[in-house]
Order: sequence, then C-alpha cells, then structure tokens
Amino acid sequence: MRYLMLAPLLGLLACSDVENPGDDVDGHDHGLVTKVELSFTPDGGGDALVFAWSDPENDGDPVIDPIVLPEGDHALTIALWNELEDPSDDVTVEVEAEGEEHQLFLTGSGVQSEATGDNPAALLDISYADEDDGGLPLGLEHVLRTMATGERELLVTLRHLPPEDGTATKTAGLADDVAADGFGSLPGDTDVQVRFDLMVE
Amino acid sequence: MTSFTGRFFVGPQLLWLAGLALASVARAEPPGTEVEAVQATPFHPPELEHQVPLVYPEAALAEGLHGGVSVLVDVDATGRVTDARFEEGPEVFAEAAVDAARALHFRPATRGRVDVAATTRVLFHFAPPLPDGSSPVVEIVVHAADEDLEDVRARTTLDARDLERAAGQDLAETVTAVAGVRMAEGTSDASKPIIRGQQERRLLVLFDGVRHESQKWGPDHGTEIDPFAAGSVSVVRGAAGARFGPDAIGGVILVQPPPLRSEPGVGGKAVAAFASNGTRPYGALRLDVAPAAVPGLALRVEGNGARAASRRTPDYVLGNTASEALNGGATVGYRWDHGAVRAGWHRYAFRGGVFYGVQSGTPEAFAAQLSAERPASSELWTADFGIDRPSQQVTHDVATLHATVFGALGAVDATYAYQHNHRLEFEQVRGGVEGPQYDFTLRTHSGDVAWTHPTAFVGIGQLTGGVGVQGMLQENVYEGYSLLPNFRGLGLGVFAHERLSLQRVDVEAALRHDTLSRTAFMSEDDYGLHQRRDTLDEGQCDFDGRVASCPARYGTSSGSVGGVLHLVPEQLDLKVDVSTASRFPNVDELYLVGSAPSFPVYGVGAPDLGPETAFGGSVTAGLRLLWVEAEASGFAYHVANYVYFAPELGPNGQPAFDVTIRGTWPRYAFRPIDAAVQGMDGSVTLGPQEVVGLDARGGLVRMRDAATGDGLVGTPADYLHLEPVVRPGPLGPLHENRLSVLVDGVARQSRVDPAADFAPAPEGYVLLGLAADTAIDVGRRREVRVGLTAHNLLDHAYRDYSSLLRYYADQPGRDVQVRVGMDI
Repeated sequence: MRYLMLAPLLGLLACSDVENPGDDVDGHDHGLVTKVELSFTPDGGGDALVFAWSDPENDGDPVIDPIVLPEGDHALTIALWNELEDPSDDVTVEVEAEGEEHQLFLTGSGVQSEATGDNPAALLDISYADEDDGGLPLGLEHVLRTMATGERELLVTLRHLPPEDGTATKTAGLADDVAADGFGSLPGDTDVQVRFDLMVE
Repeated sequence: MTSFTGRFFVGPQLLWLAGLALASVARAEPPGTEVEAVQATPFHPPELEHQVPLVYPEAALAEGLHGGVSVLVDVDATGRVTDARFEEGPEVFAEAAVDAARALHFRPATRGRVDVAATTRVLFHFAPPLPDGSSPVVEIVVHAADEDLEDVRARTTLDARDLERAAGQDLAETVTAVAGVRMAEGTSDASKPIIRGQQERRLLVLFDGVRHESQKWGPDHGTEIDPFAAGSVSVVRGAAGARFGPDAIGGVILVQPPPLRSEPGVGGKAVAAFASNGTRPYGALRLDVAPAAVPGLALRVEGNGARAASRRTPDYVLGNTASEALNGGATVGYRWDHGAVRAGWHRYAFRGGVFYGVQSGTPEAFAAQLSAERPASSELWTADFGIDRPSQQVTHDVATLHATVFGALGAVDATYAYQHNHRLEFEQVRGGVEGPQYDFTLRTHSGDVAWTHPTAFVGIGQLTGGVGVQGMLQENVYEGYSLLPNFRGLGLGVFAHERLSLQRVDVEAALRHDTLSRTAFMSEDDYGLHQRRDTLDEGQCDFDGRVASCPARYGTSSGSVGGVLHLVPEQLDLKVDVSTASRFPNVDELYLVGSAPSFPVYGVGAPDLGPETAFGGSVTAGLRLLWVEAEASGFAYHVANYVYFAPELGPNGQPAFDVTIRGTWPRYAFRPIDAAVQGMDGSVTLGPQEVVGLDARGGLVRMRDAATGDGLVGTPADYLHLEPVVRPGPLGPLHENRLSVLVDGVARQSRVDPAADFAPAPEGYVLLGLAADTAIDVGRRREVRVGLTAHNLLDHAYRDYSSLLRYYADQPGRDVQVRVGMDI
C-alpha cells in the first residue's frame, strides 16, 4: 500500500519535460542485452576465435558473424554486452552474480547437447563447464568437440529464471526439459535467443 | 423503468397564476424498491392520475426564469402523497414545486398485483407567463423524463442498487450487467469494457461529464474509474460521437456521481464485501453533509479500498495476480437561486501483479505453451497477497470544477477538469535493477461550456437543445526504453443539438466538429530507429540534432439524426438512429516501435494514419406490458480507415519478420482497413411483477474486413445470459427478497481465421451461478441490504475469447461474493 501513498498527487503543466524526451534510461533499465560474443579457444592452444551477434541500436537490424571452426576440441566462453549504454555494460558479470536465476542453453541443428538430446546430424557436441552457486549448470562456459564437418545452425538462449511466489524456479534438469518439450516448458522468460550460421571445416 | 403520458390542458383556468406545469413521473429509484440488474424496476411504480395547478413564484417573475425541478414524492398504498422532498433544480422554484407535489394524486405502485407504498420522482418545469398573461401552450403531451427511454439509441442505466450488487468489481465488470456489453480481461486484475464489439480506443468513458483520459493502448490497462464514486452508470450502445465527442464509436459509458445532499443533515452509504476466489475484502464509505447553518452548501467525502490475493483456476493458482486498490475523493458544492457550483477531486490508485505465466519470450516458446495443459512452474504458485514483478501500478487523479447558471436565456454549464494519470510498469529484471521499466505520465486539462436554450413551444411540440464548445490540452511524458514518444496535443470541438417532442414522436439531431493538433517529441535514438526502419519520412519531423518534433493535424465532422416513435404510449416504442462518429489515431498507432509487452510480436506504427469514421445506424424497440418488459436493438455500421493491428506482409506477400536479441518475431503493424460491423443485443424480463419470472439478455456482433470478408480478431463471441428468478414476498423483517439461478452461455468465436490470431479461439462454455438478495428492516426507516452472488458454482475450467489470459491459462474458477450495504 505504501506505493499508492507516495505516488505524486498533482502535476503542473511543465513544458520542458515533454519537449525533452530523454535518451537517458537510467532508472528504467530493462537489463537489456544487445551483443552476444562467443569465444572458441582450441584445446591445443592458439588464439581464440571470436564471433558476435550484435544489434547495438536494438532496432532489429543485427550484424551476425558466421561461425567458422576448425575440427578439434574447444573451450567456449560466452560474453554478453549492453551496447546501448556508453560505455558498453558488461552483462556477463551480472548474469554470473545471479547464476541461480539464469541458465544458457545451446541448441540448433548443428548442436548436440543436454538441451537437444541425441542429434546425429550435429557438428558439435557441447557440454556445460560451469556451475552456479547452487551447483546447477549456468552455461557461460562450455567444452565442445567437433563431430563432423558441414554447415548448420547454432542457437544460443539465455533464460532468466527468477523465483516465483518465493520459490526458486531454476531446478536441475532444465536442459532435459528443453530437449523433451522445448523452451515453452521452462519457467521464466527469454532474455536472449540468437541464431548463428555454423560451419566446421 | 416507467413511462408516463399525461395530457395537460392549460388554458383559461384562472387558478393558474400564468404558469405552466409539465409534470412527469421519472424512473422510480427509491428505497424499498427492488431493482433488476438490467432493467430499472420489475414492479410497477405509482402513476400520476392528474396534475394540479403550478404556481409560478413571484421571485422568479422579475427575471422571467425557466427551470426544471425534481421532487422525491412518497406515495402510500392508496395513491396519496405522504411526503415530498426537493431534490434538484433552481432554488427559487423549490417551494412551489414541493407544494404542488404534495397535492398530487397517484394510482399506487403495485408489486405482483398488490398495491404498495413507494417513492417516486416528479419533474416540474416552470416557464414564465406570456406578456398577455396567458400560458405559452394549449395542450402538451409529456413523455417519460427517463433518459434511457428518451435516448434515440439503446441506453441502459445501472442505478445505485445495481452498482451495490457489483460491490468490489471494477467498472468494466460492473457494466457487463447491460445487454451487449462484454469485458476484456487482462493478465492482471484489471479489465476493460467492450460495447458492441468495440474496445476502449473506440469507447468514450465520461466521469462526471469529463472525458476519461488514460493510456488506452495497453491490453492490461483497466479503466481507471472507481465504480463506488458513481450514483449511476449509463451505457449508451452505438455511435454517439455527435453528442459526446470523438472516440464514441462503439458506445459511451457515463459515470455520474450521485447528486450532493440537498436537505440539511448527514447521509451517505457504507458497503462491505468479500469474495472467496482470491480472498478479496472490500470496504467503501461515503459521507454526505449538508449543514443547516448554510443552506445550499453540501459536502462529500468518500473512500474505498480492496485487496486481492492471486486468483485460482479449478486446477492451479494464477501466480502473481494479486492486487490492491485505494480510491477516494471529496466534493463541495453550493447552490443558490440561479445556479450551482461544485468542486471535486477523485483519486484512483491500483497496483497489481502481471500473471507469471505470460510467456511472450519467443514466438516458438509461445506457440509451444499453447498446447500445454498447465502453465510451466504452475505447481510453485501460491495464492498469496504478494505482488511481485512483473507488475503494474497506476494512479489517476481528477480534479473538477462545475458551474451551472440558470437565467431567462436558459442555462449555461461550464466545466474545467485536470486529470493526472501516472502509470508504472515493472518487468522481471536482473537483481541489480530497481525502479520501473516503463513510466508514463499523462496530464490533461479540459474545459467545456454548454448553453441550453429555454424550452421553446412550437405548435403542439416543445423544442429543447443547445450548443457547446469543448477544449482539451494534453501532454504525455514517457520514460523508458523505446516504445512511445512524448506528445502534446490540443483538441477543440463545437457541437449543437436539438430535440423536438411531439405528441407521438420525438425527433433529435446533433452536429459536431472536432480538431486535434498534436506534436510528438522523439529522442534522437527513437527518431533514428524510425529512420532506419523507414517508418518516418524526412519531411514529417523537424529534427534539431537532439529532438525530433513531428506535428500532425486532424479534423472531423460528425452528425446524427434520430427519433423515438411512441407506437403505443407507455407500452411500445421504436427508436431509430442514423449517425456518424470519429476517432483520431492514437500516438501508439502512429509511432510505436518495439516489442509489444503482452504479445510475441514486434509492433510498428504508421505515421500516416488518419481519423476513423463510422457511419451507420440502429433500430431499437422497447416493450413494457404487465407480463413482459423487453428491449431489442439491431445495429449496422461501416468504419472507414479502421486501424487494425495485424501481421505486416512483405513485398512478396509473405509475413515480415524481425530478428531481435530475443528471437525472430513476426512484425505487426497498424494499417487502415474498412470494417463492416453488425449485430443485435437486447434483454427480456418475463413476469416482472410476478413471484416467479425469467430475466434474459444477450448479444451478438459480426465484425469483418469489408474488403476481404475476414472476421476481425477480437470480435467478442455470441453470448446469452438466462436468469430464472423467484421473488418471494416479505418474510418478517426481510423484504425485497430475490433468488435467482445464473446461466451464462458463451459460444466459440468461430468467425475469425485462426491463422490471423496467435491461437485458435477457445471452446464455448456454460457457467452456472446463484444470486440471492434481501433487505433487512432495522427500524427507523433504515434497512441493511445483504446479498450473495456465486459465479461458476460448479468450478468449471474454461477460457474466454475476450480475455488475454486465454493464450496462457484458464479463467478463475468458483467465486462466491457476499456483500452488505446500508444507506446512512
């Protein structure tokens, strides 16, 4: 009830605020993500291959790097950025801090993972390599091995799973649920779902 | 409802001090009278048998004042007047009116063929004598002063008793008691009315004569008007733009506060209610004071509050649908011989959670959950009072100032109002984020002046009418990520209306012209967004490098002609109405760019949209016999430039998509089409005065794209409400007893192509309920009214086509409401 009491009572016709729409979104942060960066580091050593999905102005016109990977085992790190802020806001840190309310899933025609189940046509076999504070998979770090060469797709999904009615909604086996029933069977909401063209050569 | 036809011979009778009396018995609305939810009176009110001479007061003679005075009259079971009390009108005529009222004689009221005492309202119209000393007219036949019967459209009024029966419900739910009115529910504990298929963009809601201005575009935004503040709510079904202003395409809802107290003393009303589904308590109190020391002064203070926990369907809890509301207001008024002035303030404050199960994350996830039996994580949800993110919060303040002055040249009404609507929406965000994600402030100043000329007597008829001017200055300030621009708009309107009342027919005409000058102010980012998407042309805005100003100007004219034919006076009448009505495009329809909050689409506005214009008519028949009362209304109209939110097709005719950070979304855009709308609605009461009877009401609407013939998404399904009713006589201290079974049948909406919607229409359903009401006599002419209404008594699981919930979950299940009300 206290919100109702504190709400402002009357406003005067103050011209200035109407004519000055703010670019400032402080205090109305949606926690948006505009860039997803995938870094593949080969196990044998060498430079990381970095591919990004980026829509810096959040206007539905993204720049998507096609992923091209050599065969072999890799470590995958995912970074998330909000480029609407200046300087860009590193959202990865926030997701890590709230790991018990987030989980990333890797799916797509070129992927075999916990979230897809068996996929003989896949090019990559990916497993979780990190955990949140509660011991459940988070998904900012993965390990993968290539299964075949070819051209397919990779889908990266970040799911926000806040508690509902005081109970945690992130539980064990969510990736299995995705494999069985799709993302619609998960609680919470989708913060990120981006599609990359994937090529292994 | 009652209609009364009396013939008054005014001529050389020398008992008259050269005045004229037109007395008519208005709709009875007294204590001790049972009132149906749909029609005003199932019992037969007293009927005026003959008039008495009316003495035109000397005090008014000098200025030649005209005026109408309403007087409440207590009529006993023999038809004799036992008491008369002045209610409303110019003070100078009060005493003469009350004296005349005491001398009236009636045919007594009957209930079930038994004569009973009742209170009724009588209107007296005073007009000064002509220069030659005689009265202005020879013979006048007067029809009912009941506005519902007089209106050339289908109009129904819910009075104080009907409103009390709906205690605890919001305005939209309250008006579903009227035939042809449905309710659009959201995913929050808030709903909006649908009249003849049209939702709130195409409806006009007036509170105390002031247009209700709010963020109309949100499917989750309930109408921010508190029904307890109303003494009556009238619903006009059909286009009524010429009379009331822009937006009145589907209809108009007139929310009228009760008149301030006129007799010295203290009065008021107290209501308490409780509903089981969501354990919802509700309490309301109104106090009216008219101090004897200052005659003419009246004060009012009122407040009400409600809380609700999350609702339950038969199988699971609708997580996070709790809400809380706190409303209140104060009014002070003063009346004198020639006029009245009134200042008031009302606040509406609501806060509610948005259902956890709204899954608009990605189109694929959305489509997948449609076939799920229960929403994911529904096992975790509990029916508690906590309001979690996502949630919405809105406060709506209205301050009004009314003044009315009566004179020899008629009456002038002036109103000024300021409305402040502040809406916040909170999304589920990462922990570090505080505060709302969307913040809208809408400020509206409005003013109108209307002049009503004195009633002119033309041959055997009388002519009433007037002209008026309305103005509105509105500013919207939005803060948050890209969705809508700020704007400032100035609207002006002029109107004129006239009504000619003859022996068997009334004819009415109205004309109106409205203009709107509005400028949208966009930030550099938003302007850039539009430019990149090619939704705004270069020349449409002035861009100074920081802010883009995009002006637009619109003008429309509307008119209406109609009539009421009294085929059999008091028993059968026929109303015909032909009219046009218009609506200016809203800012979201012009400039929206972004993910629509409730649906898995990317929404895009169309800056070139022009006003919508509806043209059509309705025919309404009313029947009032001893054994049946019925009203049936048919309507048809065409809307040019109807703004329709539908999938956007690319150049190849295929649906367009947008690739966003949250997936690939179909693009939806606002575009103008021609819409054809037809339908029927009505109500019937069988045995209105009998112990056993039947009430029924229903409606059907057909809305199509005139070019393609496709049904429009959102057209409500056909429905029928049946209510067998038993009215046992008084049992000891219990009187006005009423018991009924409620049967609500809603068909499946089969006329809309499922591919045009996000999901196929849900199956039709039938719900059973029960209602019981009584009034307990507690002595000293006081009564305590007690009622119970059980909805969905069998706890049936169903989804409703007009509810946003239907994409995600079932409607709430069994709900039993009890209420207690008392006049102070």
